[in-house]
Amino acid sequence: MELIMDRVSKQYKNKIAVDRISLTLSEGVHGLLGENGAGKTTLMRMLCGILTPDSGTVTFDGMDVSEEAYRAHLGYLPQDFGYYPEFSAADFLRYLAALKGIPKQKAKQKASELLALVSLSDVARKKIKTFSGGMKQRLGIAQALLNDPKLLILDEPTAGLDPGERVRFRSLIETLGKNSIVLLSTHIVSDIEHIADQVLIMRQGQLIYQGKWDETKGDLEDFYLRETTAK
Amino acid sequence: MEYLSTLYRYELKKITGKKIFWITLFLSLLVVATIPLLPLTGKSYVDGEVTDTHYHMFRVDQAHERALSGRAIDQALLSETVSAYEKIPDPEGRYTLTEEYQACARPYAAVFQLISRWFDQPVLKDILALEVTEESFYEARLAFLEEEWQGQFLTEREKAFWLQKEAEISTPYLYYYHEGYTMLLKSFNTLCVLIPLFAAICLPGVFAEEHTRRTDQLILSGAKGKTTVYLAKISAGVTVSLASCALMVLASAILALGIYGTDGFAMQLQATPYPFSHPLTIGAACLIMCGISLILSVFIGIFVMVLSECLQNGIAAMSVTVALILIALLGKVPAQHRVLSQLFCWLPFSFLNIRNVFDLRTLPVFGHCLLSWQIVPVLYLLSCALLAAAGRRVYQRYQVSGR
Repeated sequence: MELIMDRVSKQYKNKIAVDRISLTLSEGVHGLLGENGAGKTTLMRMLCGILTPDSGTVTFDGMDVSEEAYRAHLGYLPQDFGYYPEFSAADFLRYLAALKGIPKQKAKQKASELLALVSLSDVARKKIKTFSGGMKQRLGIAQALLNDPKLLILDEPTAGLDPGERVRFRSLIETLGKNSIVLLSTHIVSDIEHIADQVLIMRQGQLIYQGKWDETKGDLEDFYLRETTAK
Repeated sequence: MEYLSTLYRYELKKITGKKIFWITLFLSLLVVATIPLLPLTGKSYVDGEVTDTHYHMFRVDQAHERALSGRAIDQALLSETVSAYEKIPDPEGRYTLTEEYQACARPYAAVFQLISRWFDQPVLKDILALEVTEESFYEARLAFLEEEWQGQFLTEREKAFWLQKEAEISTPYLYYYHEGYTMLLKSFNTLCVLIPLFAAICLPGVFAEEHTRRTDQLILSGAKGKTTVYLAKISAGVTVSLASCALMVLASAILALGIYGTDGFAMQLQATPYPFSHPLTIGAACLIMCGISLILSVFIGIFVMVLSECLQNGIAAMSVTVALILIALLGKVPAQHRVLSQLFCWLPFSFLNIRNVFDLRTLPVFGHCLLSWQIVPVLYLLSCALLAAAGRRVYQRYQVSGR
């Protein structure tokens, strides 16, 4: 199982958002760090096929990002994900399950399982507009897992979660990383330092660090701050 | 197909789950209901005194017209009509108040209206001065039509075409009471505004709201997000537009025919005051208008949805559509600019009007004169396919960027 990015670039007018990034990811949790505007979200959107790179290619096990088969393996939680206020949590998941090509019966079962996983079973029939920010974020996490994705892309997934939920979420990600490629972007170092098999750091559209991190290398937060603030 | 039907149901739910949808539908039906009801409300006044209620006047006229139903507009009926009107003592005064008019002439008012129309004489005294015979009546109709053709800048080929159509209908025409169908035909003028207005309010959100709500990221990253979802969205939008139009047409038909009566379906269009030579009955004309309304609702629905996807803004799409409705409502292209004027009448926001649907101006194709009601709906159906295909291209090429 391999996600290959080959010289992927994206430019907005005068700003280079992503600058010739080449990367190969295999099973495991990959933590993507970078300050605001570093190009994390742009890179993730290109990996999800919702933004076309100006140059370069993205493939997953030989499937191009533009193919339906690629997206069938993809789970994505955007940073600023929207919802349908009039839908119930169960309806929202079933709708997105159909969108991901999951048969009706399986979708129903999977939606129930995931609502239980993110502790939303008791509000499954309630309209999303009545949910708190944290509940919406948990629903977002649930939708990303609907199709048992082999490639899971999470953009700032812990935003809005309380400390207890963050801990449970981290352990869930760790489990998922055993059988799939998880790319998790954040600017909160503690979200990834204990669970990421590989750390990626972006600055001004470029990948400035890629590799495993262990305590012998020192404190990740210090390293991250040093690297991202360096001119 | 399984995914399409599930996604279609959810897209329908998104549209009908909004309060604005139900408010717009309720208000549209309310407006539709006022069209046939309004003429029956109120009273008739002369010198500040109430002389009658509109409802009672309608009932009296309806009884008189039903009494004439099935009669040929021949020499006998025309003579009876003229004789009845000759009994009015002072044709120059306010003769409708006289007992003679009420007792003798009013039962023939429907035929008299045709005489006045075809001879182009609005004043009673002048009509009574004419020699109205069966031959002169039908000759006057033809002269009236020729004048209409002149005003519409018809070509010689078109004039010959309509003359041939006129010859296909034998005279004398049979008269039937037909107020229900006349009222239904009038309702389409209102539907011409209501159908696009409904689409302009309820459908721009189908695509544009996904961008403003930022749900587009979830949709487009899904396996079926770039293909099946588009089809589901378009189908749901078309269903809503079509169903609302069908509901409005049905409400118009039930009210118009329920209040004014269903009799007169088989009356030739030529026996109505409309200057048409189409070999159709008034009932068939109503059915054609119903069919065209439905086709237009499909086209307008797709137009609004594709526009909202192109502009990526629901308010902008609504504004453009409302502006087009207003242009069609208030604008007019003089008949001497034949092509422009004809195209203006064919616009989806102005077409649903009996004068435009049964336009005397034709589309000449390889020596044949194609009629508006035959060719325009076909053009709209073809345009639906083209628009939907163009919209699909825009939808699939959408890039989630910025924010």
